[in-house]
Amino acid sequence: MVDNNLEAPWHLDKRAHDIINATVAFAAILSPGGATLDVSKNALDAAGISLTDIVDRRFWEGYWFGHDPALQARLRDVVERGARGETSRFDIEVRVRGDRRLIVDFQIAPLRDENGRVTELIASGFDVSERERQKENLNSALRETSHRIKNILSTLSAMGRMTLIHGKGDLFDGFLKRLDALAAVHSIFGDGSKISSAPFDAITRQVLNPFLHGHEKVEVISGKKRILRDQAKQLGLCIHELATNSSKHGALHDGGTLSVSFTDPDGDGVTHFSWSETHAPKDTGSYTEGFGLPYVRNALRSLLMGEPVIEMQSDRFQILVDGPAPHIFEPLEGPGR
Amino acid sequence: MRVLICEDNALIAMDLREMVEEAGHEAVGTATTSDICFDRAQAMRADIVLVDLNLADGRTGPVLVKRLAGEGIPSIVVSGELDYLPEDHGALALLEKPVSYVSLRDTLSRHDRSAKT
Repeated sequence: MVDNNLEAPWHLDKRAHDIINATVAFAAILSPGGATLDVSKNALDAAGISLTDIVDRRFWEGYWFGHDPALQARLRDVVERGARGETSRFDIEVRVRGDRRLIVDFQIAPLRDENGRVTELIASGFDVSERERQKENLNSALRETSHRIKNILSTLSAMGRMTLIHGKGDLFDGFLKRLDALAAVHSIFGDGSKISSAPFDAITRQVLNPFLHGHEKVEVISGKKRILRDQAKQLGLCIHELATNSSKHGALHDGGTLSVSFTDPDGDGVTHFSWSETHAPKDTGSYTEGFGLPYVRNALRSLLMGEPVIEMQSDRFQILVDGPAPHIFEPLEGPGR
Repeated sequence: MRVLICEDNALIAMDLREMVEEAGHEAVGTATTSDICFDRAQAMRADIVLVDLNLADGRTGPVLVKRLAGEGIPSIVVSGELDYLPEDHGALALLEKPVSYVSLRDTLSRHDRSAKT
């Protein structure tokens, strides 16, 4: 039964007062009817109020709970339960100085005399805001990880089907080498939690490495801007497809020259990609497109938002793309690397 | 049906294109951002749009689905991030990535039948 007159037969007990002030928890002593009898200093300081602002007032009307009528009603209910001898514990959001909020692990428990009669209620709470923030961060990270796994599975599934439909030669070997290329780019990003971008030359050299075998006539020119993780993987797969073709028919096969370039946006905001190779003369008439070149064309068009121009001659191969590439680079003010 | 694909991963977009055509529909094009997709869906008179939620211009898929619905263009969400969709998403169907050919084919087929009746 909640007090209506709030005239609690209780006088500030110095020892009880000292005890609640010596705990790390926020604490208050209430009458069984809900009148506030005493409050710990840390709880008063957190709200920026004094004991006289709250003493003898209904506990749920205190500053800490005034922002939320539903919370006030719940507290009134658990005070009544406490008076009947029940202990209640749950997390609540309390208001503190400056209209900030804290998450508090809150409890109301009855205190009984030697006859078992409830004489006071003890309200206490721990600030668990940081724990809740960490829990939220963890949940967010788990959710992000789940999304990434689904995207990886989608990429692998698409890569498998595309290899099956459009691949040439040993399809399984082709699939595994594409997987190796993706893994090579992925390895630049470590555990994936802190590094969210990479420079073009790091991506390209990582993918080209298995094709080089001491080949010295390879040049990689890179701007300073860093390429975002998902875009880096698509670009890495483009480099892999171009290098695979080159290792079969071009510069990486017969010791020609290869130059790969990816610039920062120029004064007009245009980014330039080029893959240029020279090689021994060969017949291009019998060349048929498999999976690689259509993928490269689509991916570069999508990444740079420009139309790829492909030039294939008997002694050289070149692909050039100019475009605004609006979503490929890590913003300067972006997250940590 | 004329199907537009809004997906910023070129490999997945190519795969979806193959699946759409294998299912007997016409893949009229692809788009990588929500604005480009919105314009192309109207310009290409798409009957339906496959929409990823996380596009080249950010997590703009949910808004795109509503904009398309506002123009009477239905969409099927194909995403690994369906938990970002609000309950009133306005999409015709939701398909979790990685999407299988059979589930995409059947979902397109259901819509094709209901659009013709």
